[in-house]
Amino acid sequence: MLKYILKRLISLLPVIIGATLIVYLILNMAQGDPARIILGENATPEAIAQLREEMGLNDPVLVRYGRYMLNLVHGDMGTSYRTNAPVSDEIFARLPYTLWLAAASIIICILLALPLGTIAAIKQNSFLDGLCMVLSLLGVSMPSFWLGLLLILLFSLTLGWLPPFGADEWKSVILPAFALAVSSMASVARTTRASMLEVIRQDYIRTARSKGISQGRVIRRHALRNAMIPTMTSIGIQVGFLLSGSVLVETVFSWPGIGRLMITSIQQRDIPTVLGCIIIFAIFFSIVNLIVDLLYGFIDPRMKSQYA
Amino acid sequence: MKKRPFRVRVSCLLLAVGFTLGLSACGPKQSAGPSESNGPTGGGAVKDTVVIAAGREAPTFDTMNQNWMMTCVSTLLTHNCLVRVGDDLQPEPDLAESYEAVSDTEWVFHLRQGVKFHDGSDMDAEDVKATLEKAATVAQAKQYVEKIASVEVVDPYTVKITTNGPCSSLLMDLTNQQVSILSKDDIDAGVDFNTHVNGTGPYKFVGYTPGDKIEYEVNENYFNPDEKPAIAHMIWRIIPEGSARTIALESGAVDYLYDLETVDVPKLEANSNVEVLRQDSAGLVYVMINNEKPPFDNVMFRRAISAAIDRESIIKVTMNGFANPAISNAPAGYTCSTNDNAVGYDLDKAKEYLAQSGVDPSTVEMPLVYTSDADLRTATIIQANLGELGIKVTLESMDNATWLSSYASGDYTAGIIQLAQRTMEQWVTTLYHSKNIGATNGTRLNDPEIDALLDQAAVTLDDTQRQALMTQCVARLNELCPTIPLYSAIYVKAYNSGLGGANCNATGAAYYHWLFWK
Amino acid sequence: MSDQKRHGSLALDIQGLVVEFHTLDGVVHAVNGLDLSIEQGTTLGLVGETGAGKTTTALSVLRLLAQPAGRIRAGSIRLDGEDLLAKSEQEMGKIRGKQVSMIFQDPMTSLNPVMTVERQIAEVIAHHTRLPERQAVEQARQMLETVGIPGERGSEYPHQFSGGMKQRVVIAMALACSPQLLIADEPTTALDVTIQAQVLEMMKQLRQTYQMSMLMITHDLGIVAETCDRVAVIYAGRIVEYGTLEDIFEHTLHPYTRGLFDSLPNLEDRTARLKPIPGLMPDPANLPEGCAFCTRCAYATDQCAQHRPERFYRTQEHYAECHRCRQICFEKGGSAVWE
Repeated sequence: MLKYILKRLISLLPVIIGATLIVYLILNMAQGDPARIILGENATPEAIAQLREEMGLNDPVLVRYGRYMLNLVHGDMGTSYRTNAPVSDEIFARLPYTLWLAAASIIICILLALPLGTIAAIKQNSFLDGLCMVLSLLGVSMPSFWLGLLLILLFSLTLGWLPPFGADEWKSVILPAFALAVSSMASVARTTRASMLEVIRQDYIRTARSKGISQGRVIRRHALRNAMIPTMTSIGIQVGFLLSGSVLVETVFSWPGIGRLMITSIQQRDIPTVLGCIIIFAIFFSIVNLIVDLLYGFIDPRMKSQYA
Repeated sequence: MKKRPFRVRVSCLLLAVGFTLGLSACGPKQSAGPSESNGPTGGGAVKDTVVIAAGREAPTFDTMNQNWMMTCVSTLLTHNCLVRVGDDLQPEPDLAESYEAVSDTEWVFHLRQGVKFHDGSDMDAEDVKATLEKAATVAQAKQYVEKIASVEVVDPYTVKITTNGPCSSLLMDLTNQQVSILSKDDIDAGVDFNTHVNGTGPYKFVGYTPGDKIEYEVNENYFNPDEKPAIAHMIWRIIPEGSARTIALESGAVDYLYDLETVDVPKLEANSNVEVLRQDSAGLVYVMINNEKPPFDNVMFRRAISAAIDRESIIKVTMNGFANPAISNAPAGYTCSTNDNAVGYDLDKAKEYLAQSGVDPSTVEMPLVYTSDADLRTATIIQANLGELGIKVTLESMDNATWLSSYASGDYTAGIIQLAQRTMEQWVTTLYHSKNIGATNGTRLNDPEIDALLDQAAVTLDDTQRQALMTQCVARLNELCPTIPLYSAIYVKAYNSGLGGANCNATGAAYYHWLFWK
Repeated sequence: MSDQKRHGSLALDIQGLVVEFHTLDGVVHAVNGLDLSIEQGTTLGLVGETGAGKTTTALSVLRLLAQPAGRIRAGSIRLDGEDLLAKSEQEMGKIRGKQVSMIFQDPMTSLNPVMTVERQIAEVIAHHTRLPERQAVEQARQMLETVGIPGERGSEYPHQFSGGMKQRVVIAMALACSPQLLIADEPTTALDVTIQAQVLEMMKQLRQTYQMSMLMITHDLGIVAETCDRVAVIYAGRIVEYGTLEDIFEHTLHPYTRGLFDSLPNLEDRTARLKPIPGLMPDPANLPEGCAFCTRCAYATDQCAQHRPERFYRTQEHYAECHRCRQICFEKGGSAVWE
């Protein structure tokens, strides 16, 4: 099993190289001079030229990329053009918040989507089924930005139950996590419903019922676990989206995460920071995928053989 | 049988829509009701802290090596310059108690005594010299000390600055945050100024949580007892979303809004717990035009465009009324501003100018660049206005970085842009002096008369004479109409009515250490 | 005539069962007035083609019809004298697996693939006896031994067993709580012939050991001959012939039953042509007015098409629902030797 994990982690390398190279090339092709942005409105051409020279911006693209990768191997993510501080400082200061938000969000998503999908499947074609599916569709249709503002209006301004912004206390994560979860919920609920529908038609469910076990227990102990396999894939994909799609929610709730950092850095052509964020995202996607694959084996014993 | 699921789904949909509408209805009701009771307590519990909310954060705290608005705001709290900007946009003493120009090229500054840095060390002339000399080596600060040939320490509290030829802008240059006085010891030790924030200012830097907040506490040893902060703790919170910021003020979570959405202003003005401050700005939003591209190289054509644009509509739509129309090519608010020769909204005159220009509007293609939603609204109105002249305007969206490059290289036709500077001289030189073509002179204007006036103003130390030159310069600009002025924004701040001392000058800067709880 | 049989010693007594399925395309009449009884300690074979209503009948006993489509419209089902249709769902939960168990056709899909075998057996034990987990698993292992699987293999997963062994596991699961009635729905159809024999043999022994009654649902007359005491032939949701094993095999009454026997290939005369029953079973959504078999019957008359046949009793226990069989019986004279 350990060898398998190691193999998967090693396969991260080509992913990172590929992702960073593509992003690097794209950002360099885009118009927009980091030196000019740093120097601002009053910049003279000489000042800009000098700064470009100092920053090494005049070297060929691949040379600069090579330099960057070399530094990366030594653990140095470079210096932000924007702040002149090490990129790793800024990213690792914000990373825990993004993780925290993503974790809370996926938990809420699962807590909402699994029951919705399960109920919809059990009561297929009934009023409840329609309601569950419409609710989850609503979730994915509502812009998270707008929903976020509504939540703040209701829970912070009117009711005063939850803080409207920031990340000061543990309660602060509830509203943003909910706003994010609502949009992921639809996909997971639909997948749960579909796989649950298939599972409850299986013979072994009938067998379990014939043993005298109640419908509820059969769903929980027999159906759910079998239905989880495709659902987990769906959840894994959502976690990926959560990491990157959190920008809007981070903006509305002033959540100090990586999403906002990435957007600001792109707008200001702060290439080292953008690359740093991309690398972190790539690592995350890969780890999440790895965990999902390992969980398959944990849930379904038939899949264990692939780890030999 | 088949109909049942369909009906079920339709009724679910209606239910969901009803739920959504119900949720939305929570919004508008709140401004009248609970925010009054849940709202800012107006002189309530915590009096030793003030929380200010801003939309953007300071990317760095290094005073010199940056050009960020928010860093300058922070630096104003923690550092001092030799001189600072007064309400009338004229320089006034700060660390320098008094100063005079002893000759055309020599200035003497008498420093205050007993000023201490936050780390306890004394501030003296050596620190000033070290700061100014360092500034000459840093790209973002260099422009403010360019004319300085040498800095001499006459005695521990006297500094003599010699300039390369007469420099009329020296005092205003020295008010910039990039030349805030730093400790020589810090400079020599090569500290990381981003994390080591050591100034002489009214507030001390305590800490920074990236993306979240910045904390300050009062400097007990501030050299000016009249201006020592009344509030011991100051926290700046970063809330990027405008509506969220307004809600934060209404709910009492923050006490002061550094910036806010103009659409929220009526709601806040109606709230008895909130005060709203307005200040006319000396900044300008205008349409930059590439004067080298035909037919935009035709003066009459440019004047025609300027006359065709309905500024009042733009102000209503884009700024919700929070702006003043501008017709002068240099912003109002400066003493030497003038509207001579300027072209205001007059459709008939526009058609007249168009006829005089000899340009056939149907042959004109005018791509207009915008970089924000607000500018998009403005651009749409301009498109409609110019359509009445028969000019076809197409709207082009660009992100800010791309736009900066485009206009520097001249690879554009027209775009909406804004600018704010400390002095009129700086403004006009930046934008219209031919030496800045390819950099900040996006219009690529190359007018010898303007250049001459500006060069002369730069070396005229006498205020009255210099004002006269500038006024002449602006009048000439209005005649040439190289850019189309649109409006000057009105700065709006909102704060808890329990706070006093709120202020804002025409450049948008404010002295936040003047705030106190009533 | 057969009223005496209906008291006391009947393990299962079904009277007039009517089951419908309400689908989007209309109502399917799966079971139309079915009577069935099994005496304590005996095996009843329920024989019929696919779609006759055998599985539906079995599921009705357990009240596991697909909801909400399947409905028991009329009739009564008595298990050892108790009316099952009057029970609440919770009460049924105590009955299923404990008093009546069912084993299904396809062992490959009848077991939960992500649960160990012993845990699946232990589940039914724990559910009914409230034994703690460990002891339930112990007993589960003993059940495995009983069906001929080494107890240690209990911790393995279903996919690690062959088809025949899976079916044994299913049987172990069904018998774990010693039910009085076992319903076996084509238990060996999906297995190889050699394994079939083993499993059937084992079932017979277990039935003896546990003193159970059994309802053996099958379409295979060979299995019926091997295992059953009595036989009921089902066609289009009704029992068209019922009797002892000897009655059905030696003194076949109903043309359909006759047809079933004739369909079997003749091992002695290899050159003889196969004699299938022409036509197909009627669409249960559109059942004809009279005898359901008449369109396929060689002896059908107008009366068959118009009136539903009544029961003709050859002996006290042996009857068939057919207009013609009586006539044919009299014509042939005496003890209704068929042809």
